[in-house]
Amino acid sequence: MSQFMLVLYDTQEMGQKFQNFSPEEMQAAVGKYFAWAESLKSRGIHKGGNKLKDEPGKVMLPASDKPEVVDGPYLETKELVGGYFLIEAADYDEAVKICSDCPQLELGGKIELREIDQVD
Amino acid sequence: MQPNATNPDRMGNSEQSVPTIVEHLFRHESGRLVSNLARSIGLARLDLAEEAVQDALIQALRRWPFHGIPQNPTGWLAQVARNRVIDILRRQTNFEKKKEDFAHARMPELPRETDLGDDELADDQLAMIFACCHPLIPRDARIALTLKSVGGFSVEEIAKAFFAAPTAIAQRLVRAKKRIKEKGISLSLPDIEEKTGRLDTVLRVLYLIFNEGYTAHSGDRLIRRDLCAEAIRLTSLLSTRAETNGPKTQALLALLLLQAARFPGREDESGELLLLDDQDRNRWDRELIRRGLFHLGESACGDDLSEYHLQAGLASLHVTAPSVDAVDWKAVLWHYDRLLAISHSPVVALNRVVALSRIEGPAAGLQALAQIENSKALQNYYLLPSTKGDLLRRLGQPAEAAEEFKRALATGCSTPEMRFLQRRLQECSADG
Repeated sequence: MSQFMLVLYDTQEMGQKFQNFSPEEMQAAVGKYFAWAESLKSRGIHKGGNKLKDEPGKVMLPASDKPEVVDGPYLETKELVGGYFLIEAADYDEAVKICSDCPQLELGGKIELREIDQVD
Repeated sequence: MQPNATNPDRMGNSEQSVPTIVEHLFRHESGRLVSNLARSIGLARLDLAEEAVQDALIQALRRWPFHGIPQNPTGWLAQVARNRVIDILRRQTNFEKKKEDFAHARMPELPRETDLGDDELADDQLAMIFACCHPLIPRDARIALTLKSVGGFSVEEIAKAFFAAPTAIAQRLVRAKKRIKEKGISLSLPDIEEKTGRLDTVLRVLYLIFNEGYTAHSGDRLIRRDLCAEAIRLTSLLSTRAETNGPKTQALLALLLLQAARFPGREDESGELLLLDDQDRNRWDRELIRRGLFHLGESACGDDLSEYHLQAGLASLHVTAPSVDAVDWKAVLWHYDRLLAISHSPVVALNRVVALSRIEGPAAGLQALAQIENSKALQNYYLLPSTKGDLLRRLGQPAEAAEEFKRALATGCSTPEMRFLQRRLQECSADG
């Protein structure tokens, strides 16, 4: 069984949607995430996950003397990593299937799937 | 891939993590927090309070999927909203300081503890209801403002419920907020001298909110059901405080509960509305009836027999009767007589005719109907020809009755009403 990292990107479109959501719609959206995560947990394939802080982190860039450190990525950029999940799946096909009913997509966000390269 | 039922860790995990949020929590907390924050920073900054609460809910939406529900979700939301208010104020203050060079930019005191008592929150909400229904707020904006600021409904939802364009609702809200600033309307409960008048406007707004949800002409059905629940919730809230309770508050609460009790029997399997005669009385909500009758009893003090008293009285006569024929029509007529004396409404007069005909027969009903037939307000009201048709049918004049049912069909009524009329029309043709 392989592990996959699901990187959840929050897009601008998603941000605008949330601004216009009613409290009721927001609660419904939270409920959908819970239901999705719950189905992973009940199948034993939920291996963790975390929210990343929204405040800009740091980006280090190579430079000739010492590395340059800048703030970023900024909220103003089109996409921002909101957080990630770790899941177990047989292969990419299955991982994609698992993600297909993640509310992130329905809400206009984006998911990047990366298989963890495990030591043999 | 199958869940491993013998793994105690996993079992514990899944038991703990069946995450459910109390129904309507976000909506209700939104209303409570906006009221609470606006009371802290001043009603003139209602927009800011709303923005902060919206941000807190967005935070919840973005973080809870990863973290799960916090131990104390309402406290969490309150804290995040409060921090957000402070952030925004700080930024605004800096900005204004630079621009206007204020010597002292004031930062209002905000309550520090995360967990506000329910009492305090209830007070804030009551104060907000009174502000939203303030006589200086334009009449057509009171309902929208109450639903938005106290109820946590969005502009879209309000527009859906009232079958209006969202921009129209948004404009009403803008005008209302402008008025709040201009007139310096503040968040406080009315004092004794002004209590009666202001309580009347509040009760009226809640009555209208309920009616909008209860009557069936248009709009989204789910939202309309929510409007009724919200009107009941806020009227209950009014009944918990000496300043806002009274015979009229109790009477309105009784009325709303008794009407809501009939919801379960009002629709057939396909979700279409049923008329009173066709409803299955066994499906009416006994608990709501019990509560409604209790509050009707409570309302019977003082010497004010308000419209709400009479309407609640009428509702109680219907919900306590085992069948339409068992309704105490004499008592119904008594109520309509009193109601007519207060409201002079042709619609009430028409309902009175129905009660009268149940007691004295269809001929007496037709006679009474003749006196109100020409009322302008009833000209496009399907119940006028429909009632007349019914009386004629009972008098054994199916051809004349059919004419009336056809006329009723032409006035444009809802689908279930049309089906009812068509059924009657067929009966007449069969008889004739």
